[in-house]
Amino acid sequence: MFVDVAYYIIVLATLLSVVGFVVTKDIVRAAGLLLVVLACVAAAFAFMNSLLLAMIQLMVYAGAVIVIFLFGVMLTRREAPTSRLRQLVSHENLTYLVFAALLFLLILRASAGLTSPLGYLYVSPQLVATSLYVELRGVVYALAALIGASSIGAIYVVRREKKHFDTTQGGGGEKR
Amino acid sequence: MGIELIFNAANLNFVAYASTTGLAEGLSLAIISISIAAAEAAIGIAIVLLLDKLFKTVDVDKIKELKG
Amino acid sequence: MNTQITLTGIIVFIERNVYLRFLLVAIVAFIIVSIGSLIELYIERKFWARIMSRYGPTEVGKFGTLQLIADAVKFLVKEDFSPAAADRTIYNLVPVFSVTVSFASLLAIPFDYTVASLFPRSLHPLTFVASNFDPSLLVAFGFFALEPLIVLFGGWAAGGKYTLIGGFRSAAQLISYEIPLVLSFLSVVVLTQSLNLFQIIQTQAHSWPFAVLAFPAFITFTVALLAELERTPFDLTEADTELVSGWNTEYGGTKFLLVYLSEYIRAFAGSAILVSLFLGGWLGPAPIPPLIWLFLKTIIVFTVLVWIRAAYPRVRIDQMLALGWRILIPVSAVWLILTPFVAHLAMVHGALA
Repeated sequence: MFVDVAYYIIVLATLLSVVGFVVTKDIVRAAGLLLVVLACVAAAFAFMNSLLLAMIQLMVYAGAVIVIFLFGVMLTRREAPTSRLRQLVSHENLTYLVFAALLFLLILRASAGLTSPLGYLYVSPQLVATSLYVELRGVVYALAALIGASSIGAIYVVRREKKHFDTTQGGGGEKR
Repeated sequence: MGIELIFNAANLNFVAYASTTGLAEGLSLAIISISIAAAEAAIGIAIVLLLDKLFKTVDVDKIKELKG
Repeated sequence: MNTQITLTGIIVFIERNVYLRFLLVAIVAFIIVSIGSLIELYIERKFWARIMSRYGPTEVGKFGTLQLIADAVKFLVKEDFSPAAADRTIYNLVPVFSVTVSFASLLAIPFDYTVASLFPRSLHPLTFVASNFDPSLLVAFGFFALEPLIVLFGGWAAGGKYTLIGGFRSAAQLISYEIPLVLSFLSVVVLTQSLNLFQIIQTQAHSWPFAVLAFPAFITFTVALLAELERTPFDLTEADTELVSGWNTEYGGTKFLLVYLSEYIRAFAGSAILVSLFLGGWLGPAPIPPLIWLFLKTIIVFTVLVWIRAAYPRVRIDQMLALGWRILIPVSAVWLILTPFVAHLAMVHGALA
């Protein structure tokens, strides 16, 4: 029962962070709230008995994708803190909050008939590995081929451009 | 950034199916979805940084021409 | 007689209640980590000083043991300020987040296996174990890998451009060296076919330690760990003699204490993960209890890291990135590919369970 209450608290936190993410004017705060959303979703995964996926979510999404977004945000020039669309949207904060509250109530009502909102079946990492590398191995091979091709292509493009600018390794190129 | 929200919603569904039916396909599809979303974020930042270099701004309202 | 019955009652109650067990794990981990970090900090200052032919702290306490407490008190009584251009919320949250993440990675390292041996009656060794869950290696590493976020938010939150640049350099270093770290510990996962850190240590009870069986992975893991913990030779982002302090320049007083503490807690966690994966965790000959073995091995690993810090100069950023992307990643990837063959050979000759 406490587990269910804790799960509903996580759901509420997710919805409130999403509302904050959509509403906020400062883009770095938006990235921070997206981080909170991702962490809450990882907690939801943990409640659904798959810590494997919760940790993968934290490592890949919260650890790498948010870093990518922050690099993009902080390395580019931004003139005004908001665009016109965001100024329009920020007057309707209440709408988002009401919508999130209605969604939460819908979730509560939909899970009122169940004994528990969470399924408790556990899938071990060995099973996941089996299904990923035996049954879904076509997808894995396709992704590996794509990543390999793009890496080789990237290395080729960088090497081809390298002849046009000097690499300042250790104070001066070899052509001095 | 909003795309990540959508990807997460889909992943929540995948993991919920995996935990209620006990099959591992849900988790496998969620892992594949996460990896594709990460690759797509990398492409997104490449585009954003190139836009900044070429047009000196990232405001999409100001980038009106196709010629780079 | 009465106290024995009460003790048994308490133990049975804890055994039956999963949440109490986790609470006990958290308390044990907290105590061990605090003691471990203090000992680590002391060794850092004294050992490093002796290698440099000087004494470390000697004034406060006998042989300078209370110096750390004096430093902590000094940080705590300082003024709690925030820069004018800072984003208050994120600025105040970053040190808290940093310590939380560093402590969270310790929940998965099996210190709690050894708690049962501390009780007078011989208990089932798995009584208090709550860290025997399946992806515990991923949990330990996942919270470890949230550090680039902390340095980015921390460097940005102070509002100046130099801390931001310092944050970028740190984040670039940290995300570059996560890949060799993961590939190295994947070699160990292939050898044991389990992501459970508890299981990995137990496999090492019947086989050669993985520092021998997966030697290249051990080397790459150590180098990548040095870079992840931002210790010399990879501490170009703090560079205490050149820059002021990198991304945490604008943090003062209690906030700096939390950031500094989280650095050493991460060092403890990283050394504990290295010990559990490669050096056999709490395994060791009988007269020393397992808890002391794990602790001792972690402290020895950390002493070696301090030794490396005292002995090597700092690398430049392009040398650091070249080492990470061009040398460590291919080496650890090639070793990962070779690992199944090594595992087969080892199983045939009885070196692996």
